[in-house]
Amino acid sequence: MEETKELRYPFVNAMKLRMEMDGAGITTLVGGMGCPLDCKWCINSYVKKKMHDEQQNFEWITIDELYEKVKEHNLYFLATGGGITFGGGESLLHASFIAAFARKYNNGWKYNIETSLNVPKTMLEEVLPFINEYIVDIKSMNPTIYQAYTGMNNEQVLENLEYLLKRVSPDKIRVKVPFIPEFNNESDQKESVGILKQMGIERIELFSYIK
Amino acid sequence: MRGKEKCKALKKLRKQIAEENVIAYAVSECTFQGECKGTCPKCEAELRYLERELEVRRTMGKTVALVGLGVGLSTMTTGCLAVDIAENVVDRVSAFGASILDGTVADPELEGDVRVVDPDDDKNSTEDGIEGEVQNPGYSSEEDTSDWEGVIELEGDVAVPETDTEEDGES
Repeated sequence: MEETKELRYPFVNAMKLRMEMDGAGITTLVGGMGCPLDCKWCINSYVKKKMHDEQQNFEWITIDELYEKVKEHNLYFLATGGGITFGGGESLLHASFIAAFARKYNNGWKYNIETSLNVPKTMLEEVLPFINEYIVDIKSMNPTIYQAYTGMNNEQVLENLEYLLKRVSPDKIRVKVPFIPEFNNESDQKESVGILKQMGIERIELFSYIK
Repeated sequence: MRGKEKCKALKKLRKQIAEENVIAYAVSECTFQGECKGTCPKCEAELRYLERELEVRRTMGKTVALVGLGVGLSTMTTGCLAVDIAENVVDRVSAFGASILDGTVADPELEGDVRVVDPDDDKNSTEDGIEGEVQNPGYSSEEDTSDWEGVIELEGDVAVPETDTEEDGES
């Protein structure tokens, strides 16, 4: 337990009483700083700023401090099969914290993550035993579009997605395929969907970014 | 689901919890004057009351019933469009606009904005996509791309929906 005391999470906010949006049941979406991508239409672009900048509106909190912030809806979580969804930014940048939190508060809550999967596989491996649902924003399966929109390549994304498919049931993976203004079109979305379905992804959602 | 709809769903859930655990719980008229965000001090006080009562029951060694009470959460109120992402979306969405889609996923941010994608309907296609080969690590993008079954489009969604309930962002 000594190890978990030292872990800190760059807490931005907690959006509460979300109903079957970020996982089953009633959830609280916990936002954290940090993201490896540089998406043009990112609506949370502040999470990309440097975490040592004192002007940023976030706080480093411990596992117990986060629990204090989210425990008030424990009853709703238990009654609905809900719990905590870690978002961001890129939630998996804080994999050690998430794993430690879920390990310590193994109290019937479900834990979900929103992720781009563009992180080292070790981070994904770390949370694997604790996560009930993976909500993946895949951007595009077209590497040219992905690179143009995020500034990164998607090789790691594909590797992690394949890894995830081997390790968890497909019903635990929800992949969101966006329409990205100025970067893709419906035909691109369609191709991404086709590839994802062939990979074995069963839960696919289309949506649109707002410019 | 926003405001009053969310409030109603939560109230119904609290009532279920109370009934299952034989806790006296009188649903009273809400007198909250501000903009309803789905919960308010009175609703939170009711939740704390239930927690205390359940704790008393636990202390007495009684069984506490909680699990599974929220099944069908998305249909606890009318006007909430629920769509099952994983199962037979096409059939279910034929009931678009009705709240009869039980046991499914609801997105309160997207009320009324869910539709089945028609692969033949390209009237909304844009022409400004970036060209490039689709990355295909051993998968054929051509064999299956016409199959949109089970895929839904969520219009107006963004990566993280706006906050519509209480927000705990203080530092």
